Amino acid sequence: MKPTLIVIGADKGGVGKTTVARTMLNYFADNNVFARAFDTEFPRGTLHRFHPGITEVVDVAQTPDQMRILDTLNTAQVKVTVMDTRAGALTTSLHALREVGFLDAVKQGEYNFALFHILGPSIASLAEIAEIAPFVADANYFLVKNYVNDSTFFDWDPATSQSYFGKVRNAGEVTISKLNAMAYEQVELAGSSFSTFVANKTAAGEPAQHSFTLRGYVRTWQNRNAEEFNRIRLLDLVSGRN
Amino acid sequence: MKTPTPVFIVCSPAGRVGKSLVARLLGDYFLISKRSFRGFDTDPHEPDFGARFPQESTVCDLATVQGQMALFDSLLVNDDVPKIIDLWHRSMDSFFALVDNTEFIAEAANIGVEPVFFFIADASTRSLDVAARLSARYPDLQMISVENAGAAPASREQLARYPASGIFKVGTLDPVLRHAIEDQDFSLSRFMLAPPASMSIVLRSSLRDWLARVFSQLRSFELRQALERAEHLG
Repeated sequence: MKPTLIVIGADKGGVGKTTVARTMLNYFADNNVFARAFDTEFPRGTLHRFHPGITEVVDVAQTPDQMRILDTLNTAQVKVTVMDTRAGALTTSLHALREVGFLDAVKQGEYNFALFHILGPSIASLAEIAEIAPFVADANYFLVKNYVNDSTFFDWDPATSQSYFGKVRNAGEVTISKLNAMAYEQVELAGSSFSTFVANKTAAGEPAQHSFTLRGYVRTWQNRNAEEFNRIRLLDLVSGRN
Repeated sequence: MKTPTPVFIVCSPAGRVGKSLVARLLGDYFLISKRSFRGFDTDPHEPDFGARFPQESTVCDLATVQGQMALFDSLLVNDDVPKIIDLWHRSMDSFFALVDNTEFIAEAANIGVEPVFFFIADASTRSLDVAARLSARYPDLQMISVENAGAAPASREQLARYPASGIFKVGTLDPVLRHAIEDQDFSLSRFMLAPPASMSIVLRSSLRDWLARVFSQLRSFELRQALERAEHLG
């Protein structure tokens, strides 16, 4: 199995990158795919808080940390690596990946590479697409519309968005639907992964007393996300079947 | 094996067919048999059932997450206290959407909670459609068809079309009596345990009669449940 690097990012903050990374890690776990994660929100990672066992916090601007991510892609037992890039760091991270020759190695077929670009509700996100597009000719590029924190995409003029989306050939679209605000907040407070919350356990694995109703909301939302990941054949992608 | 805790879902897509009355009868049935129950009224505007049993019941507005939690989280407790939901017809859709989205039925089966429908049959095709849909969607749940002759009269043919694992008949009440029991402070269980001497003996005996017929059906429903659960000999 070829190693896979999945980069989740956006150049805007507050669009829910970490939420998408979390639901994706749960999805891999549910499908018996071992994954590890890097959180670039150095020094205090949010993703690390929810998935402490498999997440390392790194600073992508530093060479040693770049090595920790890329050099271990081949050697690590775990073949799927999810990188949650902090706000504003997506373009620089992609630059770095190109500089170290990773994108070329992808081209040679040594690695699987996928980019999940989380879109915000404003036009700035669309401008980002034009910026990112040159990097992803060989990547699996997915535009993620994230509704989890109430984004509305109404202010996107269809003609404008078409002209931007048209720049990216073969881009897939993923929609992350809204999760009930109170349920989302309770998972935040619990500080556990979504799946752990649904299983009514605390972050430490002890039985918890979470509300059944809220767990139901999270479970339904997780199922919906899993359907989206199934639809884009994420499992095929990481196992190299295309 | 522990006996499952019942959750009675009193429902109908129509208004004014006697949902609150049926929920009330169930509540008073448990009270006269010296047991407690927990009631839930999902009509936040005119909670008739909720107002009658302020001690035992909660009014839950299913349009809010707090209300949803107050209802569903309390239902999923296997504590031998029967639960009664007076399901407001306007909150019926959101109730069943939640039941499906939270996988309530599976969770209930897991922890030993047994939902039972008390569906008020009436003459409309809409109610019949909804009953048929519910029974198809939840084939493992019991559906008691309530024939409330007073508020929801229907012909024998119409009633026969309803899917039902049992029938609960609520007879018509004399208008004078109906008016008397509609009084906010009139408690059916208190009446059964200690009939007020101020009430005419004629009214007293006919109300007692009516209630006895209602309660004996509920008693036999419970007994039948217990018998079905009993281990067979040999």
